[in-house]
Amino acid sequence: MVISKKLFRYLGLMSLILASYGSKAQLYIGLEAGGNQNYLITNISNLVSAEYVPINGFNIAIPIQYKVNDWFALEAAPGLIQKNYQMQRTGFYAGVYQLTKNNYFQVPLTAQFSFGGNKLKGYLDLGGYVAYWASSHIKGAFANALNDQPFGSNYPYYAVTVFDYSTPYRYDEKYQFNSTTDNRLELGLTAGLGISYQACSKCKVFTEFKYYDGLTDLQKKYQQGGVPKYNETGSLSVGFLYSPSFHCKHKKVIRIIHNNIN
Amino acid sequence: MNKLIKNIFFSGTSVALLVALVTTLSSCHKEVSSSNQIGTSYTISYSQIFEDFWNNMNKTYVFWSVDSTNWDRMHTIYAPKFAALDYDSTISNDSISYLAAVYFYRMTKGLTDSHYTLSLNYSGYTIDPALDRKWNNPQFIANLFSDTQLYPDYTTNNYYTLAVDTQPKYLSLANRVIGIDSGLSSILPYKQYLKPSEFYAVSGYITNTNILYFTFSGFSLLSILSDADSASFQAQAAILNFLNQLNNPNLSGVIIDVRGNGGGETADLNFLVGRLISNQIKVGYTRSKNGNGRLDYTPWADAIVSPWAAGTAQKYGLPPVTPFTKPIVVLADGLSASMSELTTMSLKTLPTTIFVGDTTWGANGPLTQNQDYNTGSFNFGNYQNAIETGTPYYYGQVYTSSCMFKYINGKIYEGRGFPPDYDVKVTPSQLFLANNKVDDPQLDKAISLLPH
Repeated sequence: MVISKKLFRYLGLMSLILASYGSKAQLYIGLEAGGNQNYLITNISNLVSAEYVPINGFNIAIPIQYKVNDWFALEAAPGLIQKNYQMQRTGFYAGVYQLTKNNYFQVPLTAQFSFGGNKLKGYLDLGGYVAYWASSHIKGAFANALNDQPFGSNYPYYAVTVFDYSTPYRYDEKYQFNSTTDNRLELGLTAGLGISYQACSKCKVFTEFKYYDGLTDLQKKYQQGGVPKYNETGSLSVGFLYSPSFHCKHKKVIRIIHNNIN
Repeated sequence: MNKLIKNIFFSGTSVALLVALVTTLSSCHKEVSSSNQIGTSYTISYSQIFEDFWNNMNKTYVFWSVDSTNWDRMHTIYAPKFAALDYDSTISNDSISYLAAVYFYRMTKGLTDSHYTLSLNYSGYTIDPALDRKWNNPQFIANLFSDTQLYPDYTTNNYYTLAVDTQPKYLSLANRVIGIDSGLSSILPYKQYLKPSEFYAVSGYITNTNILYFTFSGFSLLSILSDADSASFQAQAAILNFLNQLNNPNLSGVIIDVRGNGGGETADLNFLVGRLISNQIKVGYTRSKNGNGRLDYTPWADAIVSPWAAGTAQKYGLPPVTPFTKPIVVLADGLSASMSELTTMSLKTLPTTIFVGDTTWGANGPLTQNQDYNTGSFNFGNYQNAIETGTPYYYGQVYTSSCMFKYINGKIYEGRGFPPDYDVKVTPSQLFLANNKVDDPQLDKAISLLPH
């Protein structure tokens, strides 16, 4: 929480400083979408034959960019992002798993540093994000402790996997959040690299890779000795940005509006 | 410049002091050699044993969602107490072992899991919170524990069976089959003390009725039936007689007596209850854990009992199966635990079943090896490995459920026991009369509820 306060303070201060360079500012709005891969970072080394694996998801956002000058812009990109992962068991227990698909409303706030030519530019994003864990879906299977095969069923002579002698319980359901355990607010840092192309005077297209590093535990601190869990997500997106007509210099816009009123 | 040098000097000194302090403190914590540790040649401290135990419980115990024990508080209270054992040179090793056992006892005495047993292998102490609660329950003692003849030594005789076969009042001599395994040399009048390895079963008709009575000392029915050893033949005969008589068209009802039965193998659920049903029945739900968090649970899985597979009777040479529709009375009591309770609860989902007796023990969470669910039983405090074989030796071992069980009505009876439809309390003095005569009010009630 201390980290998140510092992060907000830093981003706010940076925004104020950079906004003061607004004489040549230009506002863009657009749409971006892409795919991602999320890693659940935790420690389950004590669990026998168990591992977490990353799972792909999608992300979609509406980037709003405030271009301060040729090389610097501020951007917010509110959107929806999936942060999925799977816990699975290996060896004799292969087949036991839980796929967790999580949907987050996320708002990254980044500073964008551009470099390169007039039309084709590369850029670097740095900033932070806040996300809300909106919904979750779980799908999986485990050995049902009390649902043996009927007496007289044919079992394999040698059990190769746990499901050779235990009936699997399969489930595919909406996850019910637990207010005691689930921390639904996520804060983190983000960094990205991208290429943009100025396709017309008011529009540009881009593709970018972004990395989101969750700094907040997905669980509340409801117990001593808890093992924290964090999301780490890498996304690859494409999108476009369009600058509406109220671009350019503030004073000019205000003058035009003033003239029209009179 | 002077100010800069001064600052660097003070900063450097502070850092050096901090490093020294941290090093000193951490070396204190890691020190393991002490004359009062569990052995001078061992490289583990009581602090480490405690932390290993506490963390394993924290991660693998499955009842945290319903358990009233404040496990965080246990850490706060007992971490310093165990740490003190490492440095106290004023008392003997035996006293320290005893103190450690007392601490473990106090930490675990309120745990819900009634299978829970903590064996301190190193010192020889065994802690059984559920048994301890029973001993402290005056009513429970009056009913089952007060008569040392009935229940003389829990540690060596884990089960008792009411040997109704010797009582003509209850079992017709001509219509009974007694099955004992080779471990038993004789049948005592109306009461039988059994070791866990011993098996005892009786099936037959209640005197002057068409009520079939079946009792057995533990849930190893399938194992006994499949045992080719002649030592099991008598017991097999008693089980087969019960299965045979289920096809008797004149049968008016069945009494299944699991009083004093401590449980056993879950495979018997589909064997015994499965013989009495024609369709699958949902009897409740189980769940385990899927992570390290105390409340990282799997979803609830349906607990299902299935009827015998088609053709099973012929395949195993068992009596043929006809649909069973007659009324059933289950007799269970405070010493009916685990599979006895699951059997009672499963049969109780049938509209034809009545439960007579006393509230059961309250240990119905299924158990299996830890790695099956990464929950349940575990060893802690690895203090030594055998030099030649590498076999690890542990300070203690916890025996605990791998899953929670929730009954079909949504209630969890772990730690509380399953209540009967007809609560009939029995004290040993009521049960055992002069001249080896007995009067069994629970069995009398069961008989009265069935058509003769």
